[in-house]
Amino acid sequence: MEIEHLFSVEGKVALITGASRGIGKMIASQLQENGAKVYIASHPMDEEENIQTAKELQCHSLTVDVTNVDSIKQLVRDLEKSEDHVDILINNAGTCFDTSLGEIERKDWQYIIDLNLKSVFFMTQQFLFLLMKNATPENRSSVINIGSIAGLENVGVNHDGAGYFAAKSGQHHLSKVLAGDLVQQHINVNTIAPGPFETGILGRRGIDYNPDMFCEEMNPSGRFGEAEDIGAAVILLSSTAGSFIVGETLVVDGGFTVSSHHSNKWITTGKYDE
Amino acid sequence: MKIKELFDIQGKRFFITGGHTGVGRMIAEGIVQNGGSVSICGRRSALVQKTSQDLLCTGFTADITTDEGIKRCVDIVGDIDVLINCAGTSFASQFDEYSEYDWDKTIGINLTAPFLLTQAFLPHLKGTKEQPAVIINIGSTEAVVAAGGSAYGYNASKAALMHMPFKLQENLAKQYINWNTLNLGPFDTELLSFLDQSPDNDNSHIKEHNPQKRIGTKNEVIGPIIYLSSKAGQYIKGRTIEVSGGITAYLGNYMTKGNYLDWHTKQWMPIESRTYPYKWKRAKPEDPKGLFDIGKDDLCLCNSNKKYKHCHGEHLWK
Repeated sequence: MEIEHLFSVEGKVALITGASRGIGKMIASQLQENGAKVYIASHPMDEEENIQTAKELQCHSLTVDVTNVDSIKQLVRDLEKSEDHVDILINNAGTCFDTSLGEIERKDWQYIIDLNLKSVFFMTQQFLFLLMKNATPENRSSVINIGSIAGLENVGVNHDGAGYFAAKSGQHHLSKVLAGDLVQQHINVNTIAPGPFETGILGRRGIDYNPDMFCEEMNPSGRFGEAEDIGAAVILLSSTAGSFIVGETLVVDGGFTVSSHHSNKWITTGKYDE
Repeated sequence: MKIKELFDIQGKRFFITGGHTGVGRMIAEGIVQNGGSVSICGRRSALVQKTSQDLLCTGFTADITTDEGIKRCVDIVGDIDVLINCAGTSFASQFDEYSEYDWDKTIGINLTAPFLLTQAFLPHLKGTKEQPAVIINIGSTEAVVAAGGSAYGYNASKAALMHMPFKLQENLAKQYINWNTLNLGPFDTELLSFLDQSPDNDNSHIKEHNPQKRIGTKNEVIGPIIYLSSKAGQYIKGRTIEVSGGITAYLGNYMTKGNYLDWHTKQWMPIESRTYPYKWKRAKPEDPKGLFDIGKDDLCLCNSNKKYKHCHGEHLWK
């Protein structure tokens, strides 16, 4: 089959959460450019930025608080006004606080787990009907969860983001569980675990963050991930080319985790969110 | 970036070991179709010749388990952009009878050969920061789970093959070479027909026990290969992608069905009947040892009761 058909996402309806900036925005731009019908949803707090991004990419803007099941139900109703099905659901919204072990409070912990882990479950649950609508053995729907290399390995001994690490790890495993359940409904659930991409989540890492050192010394690729890198992984998993890939965690990190340099060089203090 | 540009492989030079049959042939076909140039090697000259004629690619015989064979590959193929370590084999017998010969043969073809071949090809893999050269190992889900059968060397060799890029990736990445593994599940190949014992020879048992209730198609192995070989996958280094319909993600089918594949009776058996240590019984005393080690006068593995040399075309031993 020719490449254009093999990897085609033309006309597919895609919903991406947390896509007003960062990796979500990168994915939205690549899908949009290749003819998918893209909806981006962000927290009401970021609505202005989201509308701006939607205008820039010529896609559609929606709002949702993914930690709140009622809000997700409202998002489904909002989307149903213009679409009767969803082909690609991308659970991308996520955040991280770096708070030291002694200082993290119950509500912070809860927030991290809700946003990174609980949201994936309830988004998928609430969108199941729309995902099943057009799913057939020949044309499978896709759920793609954006995890992290932080969910695979302890990528920094100085790192205080215990909640984020635990939540991302949980998310990777949850993907497999959902994959098992939904494979019968012709829905493929997979995870992409990105490594270093130049997004807000790295930019706000704190005082010692140095992009050059980060790329040259710690990442064998010698560069940050770019929109094409994450976009291509999403295109693979949502097209015919990747329809036999189920419950897989695709690591897109430029070799960061397999190189031995990383472990004691992650230097983090402060707080960031995305 | 547009898909056509992002996943472009036009003009790239591929070398596929074992490209004359099975998954290797599927890959070769997909690459030729999308404008890549392909060389294949294999041990069975008739099949190599047929495949290279069908696909209009370069084909030659070489035994990559020998130093001469590896040298022959390097001499004939020369500079390449993508090396695909696809040649592989499997031997099976019960645990207490699994011989050193079986073990050495399997490890030799599945593990030692890809390592030494890759080593020999390093000077011929020229990558740049913008477009790294690529090595892809063809692994198996058997590296991660033992779904059934008793091909001990096969499981071990595939697990090691999957681990090889982890260790070497860091050094290679600095020379702009990406090394990854594709762990494949069931595809319509010779190796699968060896496993398949469903009554109509239609792989129905294997399909039944796959989470997606089917086996993979040609497009589904070509897709990830093109992804890893093009600009699209160049940020993936030292990793494994599993293309199997979800075998290792989801054991539910095995659990709920409560069946396992008995290698020797070649039947799906209830899990209750499986005891540890497994007492395997040979189906027939003359049951040959491995797919690639059958004499012309041995019975064919396809259960037709015909001699191997009289059985259907692709079994012909040259």
